[in-house]
Amino acid sequence: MSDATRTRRGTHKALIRKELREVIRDGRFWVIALIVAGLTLVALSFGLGRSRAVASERADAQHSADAQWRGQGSKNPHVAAHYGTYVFKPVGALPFIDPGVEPYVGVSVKLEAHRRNDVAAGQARDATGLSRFGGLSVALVLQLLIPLLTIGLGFSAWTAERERGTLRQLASLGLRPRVLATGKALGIAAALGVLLVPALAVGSLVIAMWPDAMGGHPHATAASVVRPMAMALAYLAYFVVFVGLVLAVSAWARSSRAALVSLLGFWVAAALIAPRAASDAAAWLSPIPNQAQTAAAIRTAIAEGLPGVPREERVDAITDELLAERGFAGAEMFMPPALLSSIELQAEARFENEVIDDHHRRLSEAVQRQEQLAQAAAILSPVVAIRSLSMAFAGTDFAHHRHFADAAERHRRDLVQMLNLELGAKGGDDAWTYKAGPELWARAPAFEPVKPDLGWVLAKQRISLSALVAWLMLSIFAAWRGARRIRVV
Amino acid sequence: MLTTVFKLEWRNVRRDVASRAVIAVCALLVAYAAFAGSRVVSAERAALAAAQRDEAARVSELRHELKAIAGGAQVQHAADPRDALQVGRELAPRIAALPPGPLAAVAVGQRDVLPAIIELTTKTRVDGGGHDDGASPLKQSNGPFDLAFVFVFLLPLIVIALSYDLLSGERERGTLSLVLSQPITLTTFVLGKGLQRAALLLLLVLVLGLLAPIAAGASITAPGAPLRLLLYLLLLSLYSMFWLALAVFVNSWGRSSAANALTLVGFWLALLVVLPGLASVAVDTIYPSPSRVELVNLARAATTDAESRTAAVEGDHGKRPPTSARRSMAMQAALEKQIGPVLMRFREQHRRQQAMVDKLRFLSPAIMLNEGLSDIAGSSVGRHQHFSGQVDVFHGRLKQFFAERVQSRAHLTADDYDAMPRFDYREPPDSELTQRVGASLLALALAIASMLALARARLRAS
Repeated sequence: MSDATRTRRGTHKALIRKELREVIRDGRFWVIALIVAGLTLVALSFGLGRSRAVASERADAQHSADAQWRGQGSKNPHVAAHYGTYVFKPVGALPFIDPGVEPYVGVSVKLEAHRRNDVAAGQARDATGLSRFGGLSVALVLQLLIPLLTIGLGFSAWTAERERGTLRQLASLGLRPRVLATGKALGIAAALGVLLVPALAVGSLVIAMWPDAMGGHPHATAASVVRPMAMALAYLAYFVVFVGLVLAVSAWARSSRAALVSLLGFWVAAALIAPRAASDAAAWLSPIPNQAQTAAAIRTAIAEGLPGVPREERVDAITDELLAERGFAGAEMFMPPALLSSIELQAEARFENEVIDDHHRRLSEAVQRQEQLAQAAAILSPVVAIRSLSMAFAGTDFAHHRHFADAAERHRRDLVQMLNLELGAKGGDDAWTYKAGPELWARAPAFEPVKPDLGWVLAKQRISLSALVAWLMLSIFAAWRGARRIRVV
Repeated sequence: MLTTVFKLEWRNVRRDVASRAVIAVCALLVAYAAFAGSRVVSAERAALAAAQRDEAARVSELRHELKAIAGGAQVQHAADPRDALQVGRELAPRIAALPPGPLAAVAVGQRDVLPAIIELTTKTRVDGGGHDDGASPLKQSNGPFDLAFVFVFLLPLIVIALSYDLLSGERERGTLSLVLSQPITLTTFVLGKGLQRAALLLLLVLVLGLLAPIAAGASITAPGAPLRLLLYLLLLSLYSMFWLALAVFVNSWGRSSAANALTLVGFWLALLVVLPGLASVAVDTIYPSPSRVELVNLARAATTDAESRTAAVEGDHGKRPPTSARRSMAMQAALEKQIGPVLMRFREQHRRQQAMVDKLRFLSPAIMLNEGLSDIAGSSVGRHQHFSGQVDVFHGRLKQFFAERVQSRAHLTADDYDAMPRFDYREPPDSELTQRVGASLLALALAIASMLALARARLRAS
């Protein structure tokens, strides 16, 4: 190691020590830090308690729904398909950090023949007027308060030096501005680290222990290490964006006051106004068909058929297809009645699924258009980007909800298909007097929703991700330029 | 002297580019929120009209079929307009709707979560009707961009932007010592400046506050509207004055403008994020909502139980004789006996939660304003609970109506169709609203007075 490098390292260390000492000697920092730490603690313990209660509640509910299904006594398989069963959305480890849209969507679906039910039983209806303030979550602390704390710590990083006249002294030492800027950034980062590192440690501990805390619930173990790490990285980038912006503004501003006012103005616009304005404008510009209307349209289409193709015609066509597949074309008269009933039921189910798919495809396209539009606001605000990413990594955004709903629908189809086939195979001469018993119910496929992998999440979050990277580059560049062009007096 | 300061300050603010920009931004935000509010209300009106149209269309279709059958037409087995059981359970769902209030555009409140239109048949109402998967959960979780958001969250920041350097700015520019060399006390000077800001803010809030609901299509002459408008403007005025008083108080500490701005934003954070957050944690911890997930299974178990006792099943595609009317009704009665108490527990707990919020609102002016605006707009939890109670009574009447006709085994006639119960929402007396908002207004006035008294003591001492 050359002497020059050693000296530079020494200077770096001295600078960071100086910046950190300034922060730590500032009484304000400790007051704010204590408040933020307290809030994080409350949010963590409340969120954790809540998540665990919800997880065990749903695991219990799934157990008793399965028990109800298996204990339904002897029945005709298709009657059992009408009786149906319930599936409940499993809970992973991360929602305790960011509940996302979870409180506003349902958690359980009834699976039965002939229809795709809504995911129901969400908790939003039990909320009070206070829910409009956004509640208290770790995500709220990370997304809103930490940037504000960063502003409070760093708005005068350059301006105060200039106002005190110490900037001239520093400049006279012959230090390069980039070194100074790095020192200041690391000083702020170290101060934030005092808060964030313990929080991160607690959070990781909780996530690591989650499957055990859940009593080994099979669905919860799907939460791998990858998602928490991606989430932590996204937040890290987000904090760097704010540190960079704060330093840049502090370098460009005429006075500490001007720096503070512009930074607070940015915070208000980016953190308060942008997310709401984005989701409101997206809902206005790219509306989603009303759920009640979609449900009604599906009901009508199932009763009457899709436009241009009457129900009977389509069901008959599918029946013929199925008959032909099994080599019974034109031989209906010689088939066992139960087999014919089974094929008719399968044809009906296939027709219904076509109708459901047709409507849901349009619905999900509309939802995706709206989401992309809302995400596009991330170009204007890093807060929009991190909100979207945080929810996505936590598995609590609307895309994950739809993923669950679609998995439940696929499971419903498998279940109904299996029961209809059973009717044909065992029904014999009279399909409707045949009764199956518990051994059939036990053979029903298990519902094991797979949590989508990171690639799936990243593909959906392309806009937010690129916006966050763009903000990162912009803020680092601005901080660096600001440091180079700073006026000493 | 006071008037001189007042006039001088008025001229200063008029020439200040930053102040003008802040006011313009404020107007822009209010305009967008009014626009968003008008969209919400007109969508709601359209949904209500469509639901009522559907309801009427269904009934007139049934009447038509009734006439056709009387004329000798074939009766459809699964849709017999003469059968009280079928009509009550399936064929003629009735609509119970909570109409938007006259000032609905002011606050979306809980209206995007709680169903305002409920379809009722004689079947048991387990989940309260309506759809859970809202059109845009992201919008619901971010919160609506309504006037309540602009006033509750952003108005304080506008006030802070206009007054954080009320006194510190004069000191930093060096003009304070110049002014104090004149025959004027510090208190009078601050009072003059404060009064000017108060006048400016009141003008801003009253003009924008009045124009916004009108632009959003509020019917200000509708019954109850003038009272609501008055309460709304009073709330807005006192709320903005609270933040001004806070700014004056913080300025009286004699610190720098930057420190003042940080302190005021700290107060904003405490009153708008921290306290409401802690309050909602407290409410959820003390009165936790019963689990809706458990309700799902409970309803299931109760249904199975009732089914097994009455041996009624569905799903045999009409291959067996239809369940008798008596059995079906017995099954429902058994189901309701089991589910009823559980549903009651939900309602009771929700009522307790809201009652606690009513008390906790005095913790923060922001909660007071938010609750007050929801009450005034008719989108509060309280109004919905009122509605829910009336729906229960109506549902009872509806079931009674059809049960009598099922019991008598007579065919439904055109007269019966005329006599079918219909739902009309009755608004709670306005005195309740006045009392609730009045208490908030009083609390705000007290907070302002104490803040100003503290500021005065500080200024006198310095």
